[in-house]
Amino acid sequence: MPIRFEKVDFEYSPGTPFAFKALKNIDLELAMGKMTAIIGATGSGKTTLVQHLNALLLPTAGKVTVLDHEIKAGQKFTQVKELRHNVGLVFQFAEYQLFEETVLKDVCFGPMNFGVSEADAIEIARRSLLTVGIPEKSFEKSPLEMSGGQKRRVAIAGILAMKPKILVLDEPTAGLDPQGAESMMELFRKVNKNSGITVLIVTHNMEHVLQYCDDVVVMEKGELLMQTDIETFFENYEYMEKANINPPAIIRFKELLKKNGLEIASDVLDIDSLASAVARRCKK
Amino acid sequence: MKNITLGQYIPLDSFFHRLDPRSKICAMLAILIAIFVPAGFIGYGIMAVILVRCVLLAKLQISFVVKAMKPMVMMMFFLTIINIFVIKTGNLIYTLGPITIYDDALKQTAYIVVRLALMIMTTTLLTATTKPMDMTLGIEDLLIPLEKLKVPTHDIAMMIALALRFIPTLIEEADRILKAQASRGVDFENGSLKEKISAILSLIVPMFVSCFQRADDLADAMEARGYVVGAKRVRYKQLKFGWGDYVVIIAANLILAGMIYLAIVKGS
Amino acid sequence: MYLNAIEVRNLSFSYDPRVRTIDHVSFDIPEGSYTTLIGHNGSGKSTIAKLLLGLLERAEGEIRIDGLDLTLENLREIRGKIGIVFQNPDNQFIGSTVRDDIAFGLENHCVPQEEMDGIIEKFAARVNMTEFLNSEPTKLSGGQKQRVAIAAVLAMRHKIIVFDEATSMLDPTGKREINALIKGLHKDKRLTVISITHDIEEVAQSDNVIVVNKGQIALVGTPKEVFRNEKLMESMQLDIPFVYKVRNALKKKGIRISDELDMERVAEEVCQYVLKK
Repeated sequence: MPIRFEKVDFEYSPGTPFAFKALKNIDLELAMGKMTAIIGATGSGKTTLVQHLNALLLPTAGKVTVLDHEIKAGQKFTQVKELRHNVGLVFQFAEYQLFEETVLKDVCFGPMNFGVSEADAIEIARRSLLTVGIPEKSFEKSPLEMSGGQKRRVAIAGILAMKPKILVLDEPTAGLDPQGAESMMELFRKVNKNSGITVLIVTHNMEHVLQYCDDVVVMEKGELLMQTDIETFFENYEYMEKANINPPAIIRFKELLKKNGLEIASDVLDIDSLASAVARRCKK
Repeated sequence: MKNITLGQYIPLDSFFHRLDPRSKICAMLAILIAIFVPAGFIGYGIMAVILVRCVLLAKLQISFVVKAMKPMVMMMFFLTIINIFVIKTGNLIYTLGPITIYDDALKQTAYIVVRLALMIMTTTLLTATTKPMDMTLGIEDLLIPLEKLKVPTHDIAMMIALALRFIPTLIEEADRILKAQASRGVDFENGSLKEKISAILSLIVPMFVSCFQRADDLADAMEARGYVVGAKRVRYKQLKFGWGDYVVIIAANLILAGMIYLAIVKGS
Repeated sequence: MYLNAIEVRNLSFSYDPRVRTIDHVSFDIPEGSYTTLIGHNGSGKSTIAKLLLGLLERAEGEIRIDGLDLTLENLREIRGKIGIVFQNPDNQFIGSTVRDDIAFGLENHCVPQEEMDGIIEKFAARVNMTEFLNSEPTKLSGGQKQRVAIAAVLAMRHKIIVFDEATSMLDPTGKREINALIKGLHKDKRLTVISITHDIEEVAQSDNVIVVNKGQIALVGTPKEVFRNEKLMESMQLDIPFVYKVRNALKKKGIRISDELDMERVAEEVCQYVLKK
């Protein structure tokens, strides 16, 4: 398993009156090539968890293995640069990380930090920008001239240009309008399917989890509550209610149908197949 | 950053915490002046005893005040060295090869060190027992006489208050941007000068952009809620003088008077 | 008595002289109504909100708030009638504590100092923030900060409140809290609520919808009327509620259901339809 957490604890400001344990005894394995959602209430430790993946935070106990890098609590971790090259982390409101005069230069910044030559970096940057849907004519613009959604795309292109094997996104669609969020998720799917990059998404949006992700990791108060595939996860309605998760509309609707005496198979997860299932029931 | 105690507010409940910030500021000024009166070591001794009593009365630990003096230790050390080389009056008390030490040098140094220590004790007593916001209110009220000179005291106070309000938010933001850039391979510790400049720019430029954005939003929010620069407003937080405040101001001025008296007696 | 809380005629505005951000917009908002303004990012919704409060100066047109023409001279009076809750919870928290923040507007409007405590406590209780009165903003969640912003606006006793994407930066819990609070505030219809939102479920709950597209009003009506214009909505990159998507999918299969927006009722209807057969 290329991503593995073994008995990982993380404590903020240990040994002070502000000490706070944000991760407690996390045991977690994630497969490569998949799109995994990390969900949980605010303060459940999602962001803390993903910041361990590129050694922004180091475990205070236990061991984190990412690809062939091992990060052990209490030991100096020396491969920071290699690890950060392999794991691209996109922060919440990533548009705030842009700082160069032009869009193209900003996207080049990451790869050049990892030793890519300027000519190569420009080539990769151009491709990354086109992948995220920024047209050629905007390459020489200042990032400040662009709209919020476009800026975020530029920031994501800046991470993709590092050619990471693992892409971690912390609430990448926060603050976007629904259509913007949707096309952003499409982009991550494309990146995942076409380039085989492992994608981890921290999100609150259950519709996105249902539509785009393969697996779910549920966090609660610093603990790992559950790790499973989408279908199993959304089958368990009572559990979601108990965990204060607002299920996607289609799951809620199926539950209402069930209450009224119409049960729909659990693998029906989109509107068209739902309509077909209802129509089939009518013909019977 | 977390080890610096100078200027930090300590949320406790004591006689000093409950005082009006205005009286504390006035008393501090009187004591600071008193510290500069050349009242001799007897005077400083008396003041030190009183200030230590005050620190205890404020429920602060002496170690907290000592910690606040730590940044001064190096300065005091250099001062001693310089004085030893520069001041060559008084009695010769020690010779080591070419180095000669006169007692005036030590006396002068001791004077400065004691004064600095007393000053730090006084200011710590103020800042540790007064919330930054209350301090702003106190300064605002004390500056009111300056309004006649067209000094925009209320606007200044509002600016300080907003700055204080946004410091924690901006620290959080800086931390996030720092981590975001570190994820893009920026090394904030090592690297050549050119790399270092680019690393700093990658933090500062986004901080500026974000600050302007926040300032814009904040201006809208303030205006929407009826704030007009320079317009008359009613202040919610009114400071109230109690008996303790009179006691503190009178006491501080008595100390000042006492020190002046000691200085005159010593001089004549 | 005015029947319209807000009347806008021929309103235009530009940030950049080459582009009209708001292009000759006219609309009315009835007193006591709950109106949602929708449109994708950059359509001009927030600009309209700022124009209504006089935070931006219009280039052309008229704005009447509660019967009063908005001019530079009476801005203060206007802002006594209409308040706004913005998107970013941090950037509108002005005071150093919850108490001070609610006081800020009262201070500006010269409410007598001795009355402030009573008002602050009353409205903090209204948004369920009494126990946090002396808390600093860094100790509060996004949803709690927005509740304080709402209390601060309520404390001014405005007749009209604008919510400018007030929930878009909140987590689902915060969203739910604030939406429930807005709904509760509007219950007795004494307050006119205007909400700029992307939340299609919230739109479905409102009385009226105004659809803004490229600085113009594209559509006005009740939620049902608006959502029926499926093609137009799609062309403006706007979502329709889940139940309407279900309705359309069922229609293709020859199953017709009513234009009900409430999911529970739609589910009942579908079941009746199926089980009747």
